[in-house]
Amino acid sequence: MDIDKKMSYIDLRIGTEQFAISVSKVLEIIRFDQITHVPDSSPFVLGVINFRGSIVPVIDMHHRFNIDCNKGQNKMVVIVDLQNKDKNVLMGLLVDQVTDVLEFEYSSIKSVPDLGIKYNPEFLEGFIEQEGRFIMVLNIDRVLNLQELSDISLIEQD
Amino acid sequence: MELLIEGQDVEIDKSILKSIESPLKHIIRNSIDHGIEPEEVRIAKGKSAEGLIKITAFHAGANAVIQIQDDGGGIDLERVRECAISKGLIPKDQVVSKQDLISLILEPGFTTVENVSMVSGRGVGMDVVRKELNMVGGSLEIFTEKDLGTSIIMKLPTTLTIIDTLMVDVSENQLLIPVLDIEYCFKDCNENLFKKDNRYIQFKNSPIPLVSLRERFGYPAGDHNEIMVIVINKFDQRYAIIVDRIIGEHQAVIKPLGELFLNQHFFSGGSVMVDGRLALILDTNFLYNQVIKI
Repeated sequence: MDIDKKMSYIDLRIGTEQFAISVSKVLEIIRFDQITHVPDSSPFVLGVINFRGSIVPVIDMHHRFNIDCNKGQNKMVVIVDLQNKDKNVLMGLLVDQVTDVLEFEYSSIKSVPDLGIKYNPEFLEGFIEQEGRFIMVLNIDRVLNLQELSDISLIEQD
Repeated sequence: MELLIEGQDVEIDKSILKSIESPLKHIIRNSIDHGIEPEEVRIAKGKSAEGLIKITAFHAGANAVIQIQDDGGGIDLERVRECAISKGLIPKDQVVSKQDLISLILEPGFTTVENVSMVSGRGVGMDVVRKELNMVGGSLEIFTEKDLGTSIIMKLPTTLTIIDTLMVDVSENQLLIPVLDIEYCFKDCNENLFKKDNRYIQFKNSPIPLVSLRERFGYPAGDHNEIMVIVINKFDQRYAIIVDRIIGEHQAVIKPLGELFLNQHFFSGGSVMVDGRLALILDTNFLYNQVIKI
C-alpha cells in the first residue's frame, strides 16, 4: 500500500462521536428500515435484513461502542464486505449518520494513545485530526469479529 | 445375485441424500431377503438361477426418481388381503383393488411382526420408509406382480431449498413453520392454557407439551386473549406451540442466516417475503428437543 496516496474514507456518526471507515470495505449505504429480530442471538446483533436477496446481519454500533442511541433519528446502515477466506461476508453497521467522504493519506493516521481513549483500542486503526476535530478510523475487521459477535454466551441475562 | 445400477450421474441435494440412505438400504434388504426366491424355486419357475436387482435413478420434472426393481416372487397380495381382513382393516368379502392392497402395506398398523413374516417380510417398516420420504417431500410407490417381481419407486425433490410454510405472527415478528411438520391448528385463549400449572394440553386423548414462542423468545406477554395453538408432529412425537395468529401460507426459498448465527438454533434459515422483509424459519427439530428437556 502506498501510504502517501490519498485514500477515501466514509465519515460516519455514532451518537455524537465521529468515525471513519475505508470505502474499500463499503458496498452500499442504505436507509435503516425494516429489520427482522433474531431471538437468542448476540446483543450486538440487531437483526437481519434483506440486502439484494441475501440475508445480512445488522450490528448495532452503539452497542458495540457503548454509545447511547438517540431514539427516533433516521438511522443508516452501512453494508460492508469483510472478505473472509475468499468468501464475501456481508454485514450491516447501524449508525446515526453518514455525513461525508473524506480523503487523506494513510500515513496521516496517528496511532491510538494508550490513555484517554474510552473505546477498545483494538477496534481502532488510529485517528486523524481534521479541522480541529478528531476522527477515529475504524479497524472494521476487528469491530466485526465474527467469533466474538456470534458468541452466544455474551447474551445478557435479565 | 446380480446388482445393476443405472443413472449414477443424477444429482440430488446432500440433505435429501442423507435422509434416503436408510430407506434405500431397507428396500434393497427387503428385495434380497424376501423378494428374490431361493435358487431351486427360481429354476422351477423358469427364471435364471441368479436373482437381479436393478436400481435406476433419473430426473422427472423437478423430481429425482429412484427405482428399485427385483425379479423375485413379488408381494403375496393374497396374504396381504388375509391379514387385512383378520386385522379388520377391510370387510371379509369386499373386492379390493390391487393397488389398494399394496397401499395397505404402507399403513403403520400393518407392520407388526406377525403380519410381516406372513407377507414374506414385505411391510417391515415400509410405513417408516414412506414417512422418511414424506419428510423431505418425497413419495413412495409400489408395483408388484406375482412371480415377476416388485418395483419400488421413490420420488424425491431435487432440492430442499423451497418449502411450503405457514406464516405466523409472534409479537409482530413473522415466523415460518414448515407445513410438513404441522398436524393441526386451533384457536384458544390464554386463560384456558395458562391457568393450570402444567404446560400440557390434551390432544387426541393424550397430553402433549406446550411451548409459548413469545415466552421462549423473550418477548413480552401479549395483551390479546385469543391465540393460536399449532400442533407440531415430528417423528410421531407431538408438541404444541403458541403463536399470536396465523397470517397465511408462504412458499419459502430458504436462505442461510450466515456464520454470525451459527450458535443460534431456533431458526434454520430465513426467507424473503413479498414485501421484501425477512421472515425466519422455525427449526422444529431443535424446538422439540428443547421442549422435551423441560
